[in-house]
Amino acid sequence: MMQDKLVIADHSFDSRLFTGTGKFNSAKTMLDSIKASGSQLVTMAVKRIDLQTGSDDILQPLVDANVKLLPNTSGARDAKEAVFVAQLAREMMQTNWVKLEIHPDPKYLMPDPVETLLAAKMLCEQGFVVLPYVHADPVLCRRLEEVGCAAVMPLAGPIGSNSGIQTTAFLEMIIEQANVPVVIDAGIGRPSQAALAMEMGADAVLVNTAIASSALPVEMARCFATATDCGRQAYLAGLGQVTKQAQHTSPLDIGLSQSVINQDSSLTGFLDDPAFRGR
Amino acid sequence: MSFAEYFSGLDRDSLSMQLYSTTAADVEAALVRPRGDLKSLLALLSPAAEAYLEQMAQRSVALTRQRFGAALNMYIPLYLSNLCANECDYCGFTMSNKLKRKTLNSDEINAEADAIKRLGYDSILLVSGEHETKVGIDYFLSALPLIKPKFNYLAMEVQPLATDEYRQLKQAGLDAVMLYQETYQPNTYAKHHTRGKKSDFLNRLAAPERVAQAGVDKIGLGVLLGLDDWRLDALLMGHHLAFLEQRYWRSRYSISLPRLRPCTGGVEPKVLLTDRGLLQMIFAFRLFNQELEISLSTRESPALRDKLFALGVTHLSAGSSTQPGGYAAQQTQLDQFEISDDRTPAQIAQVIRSQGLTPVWKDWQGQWSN
Amino acid sequence: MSVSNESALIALHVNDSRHQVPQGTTLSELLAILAIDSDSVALVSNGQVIPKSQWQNIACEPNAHIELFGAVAGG
Repeated sequence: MMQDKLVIADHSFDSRLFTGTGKFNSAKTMLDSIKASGSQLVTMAVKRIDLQTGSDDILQPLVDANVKLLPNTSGARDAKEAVFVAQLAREMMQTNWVKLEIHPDPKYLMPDPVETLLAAKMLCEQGFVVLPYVHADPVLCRRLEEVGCAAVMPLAGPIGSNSGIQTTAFLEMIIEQANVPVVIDAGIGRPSQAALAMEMGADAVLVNTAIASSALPVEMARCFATATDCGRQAYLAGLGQVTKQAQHTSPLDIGLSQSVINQDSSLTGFLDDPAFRGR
Repeated sequence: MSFAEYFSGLDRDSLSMQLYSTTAADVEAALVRPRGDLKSLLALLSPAAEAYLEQMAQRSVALTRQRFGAALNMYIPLYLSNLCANECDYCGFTMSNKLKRKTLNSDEINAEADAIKRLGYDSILLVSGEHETKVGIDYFLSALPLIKPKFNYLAMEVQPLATDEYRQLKQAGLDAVMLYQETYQPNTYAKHHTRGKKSDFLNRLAAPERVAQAGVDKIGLGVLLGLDDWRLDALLMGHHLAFLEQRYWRSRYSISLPRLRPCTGGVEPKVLLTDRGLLQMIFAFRLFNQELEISLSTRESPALRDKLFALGVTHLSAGSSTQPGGYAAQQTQLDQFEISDDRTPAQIAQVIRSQGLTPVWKDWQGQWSN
Repeated sequence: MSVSNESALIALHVNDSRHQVPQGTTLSELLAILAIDSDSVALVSNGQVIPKSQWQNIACEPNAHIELFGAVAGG
């Protein structure tokens, strides 16, 4: 099998399925699911510790599982806060990779494009490897690339919605135009949708809720791994065009086709016309 | 990476081999691909694709209508000067050619612009030979303020300039720059450009990037079809186009398809580009890039131009003169190339309308930036 | 009342709760006192992110507002 590694910044990934750590019913389920998914990049959030109760250390088990950590800036409501969170995360996890996400809207969790672009510029200047989470806005993705982001992460649908891919037309534009990897994040609810995202030409997908909220997360994680890989292989193999008319896969009988061709509707027939006085 | 670096990484011999070993199956695969790319462009420019010309034509028409509607944009060239410090054997303005040299002064520029306005045009292409000292940035900066107030869209086809010079011209109202590599084969290029700054292949190759970096709205590429193998030159132009469009996404792009024509001097085409081949080129590029503007000059015969209007072309000139001062007063000796279609703009507009298409004279309104 | 320097206590706010620690306690020592694993936290003192490499060298300031952050599950 040919090498088809995904390279983001200075890191090379075998798996194109990224996962999140949220919404699992237990830390054990979360870790088992991530292992089952084969994911090599995992997101997590940063929060103030509750000194009374403490919290499960999720980091060490992930590090032990040889997974790369991608802290996110969720909770930040503007660029300044996002930069602050990124600096915290960098110190805590000793990584300069950050998933930039700024959603001041708590109802739909839509990302703020203005603050995200501002924060991306600042963070790139401070040496972070920035993966910004944004709406599927092709121009915004271009601007983020221009300020130095290592990838772009346009959404398929609202966070946690399992809505499927709502932004297809725009994701296609982004995939066509991007000079950095495109990771489709948020809204993917089924393995078939992950496959679809990869068939479109995305470089990777990020899935969290769909796995965590499944009745059998570990099984679901495995399915997503298969689907992501399958979609990628199909993309590489070259997908056929969708046509409205049937297109013969066997050759027409030569005699029949000549009588079927209507000379009047031919656009190029004039080339054969001896009366045509072109050059 | 600059385009020069990208270009040096291309194996032109290999691309040529691929062109000539393309099979019918390759062409069919290219035709079903939902969006064009360089791989499908190669297949569609190959000899094997000739058998699929009608199918390519149908798709080209459909894609062009979808993107451009029925509009055909009219523009006209204004030759400012035929002074030239280059030796290019295919061009009437070549340095050693003994013809009367003329550079328009302000009064003459105004007279030409007014004569052109009476023809109904609003989009103008300023053309000159390449003479850095006498017809350089200072001359252009003095000419633009005379011309831009009269025309909404202003393009230039002159010598390669520096990025900063393009920026200055943009401030003065420049909307588009046409810069043709002529041929992307360095050896052939050297044979035809023997003296002057134009003999520097790499400098010319890098110029469209400078235009893009200056933020000019439209960048036009082109090859002089016939200097070398037109299929390979077209393919390399496609690479140039893809490279620029990927990086300089705020600009739009156009190509021109000049076929080698007799001029005062005369050069025979190395590889003949037939009418069939010209059509194949138009279709291949339309299928490669739906947004690409495709420009047709008056070098082609009326009969062929009429056929091409509907097939994928988006911009054309009519009633053109290729000599400085040629609109205000007819002269005979100064032409850059022989014009084949000398019908008036009104006649051509009539033909366009009779085909159910719409001639468009004004497509732009500079509001805030000029 | 005079108290010798070694036993002087300073007040700190750590994640909004008040603590008292001996003057001169370093940030590393503070974490040990609070039984927090230094590997998995980030520390902010008076609004500044303090690099982990400095925790052994920096003493807690009197009345400092210290905030400790950890990684939690999230997408």
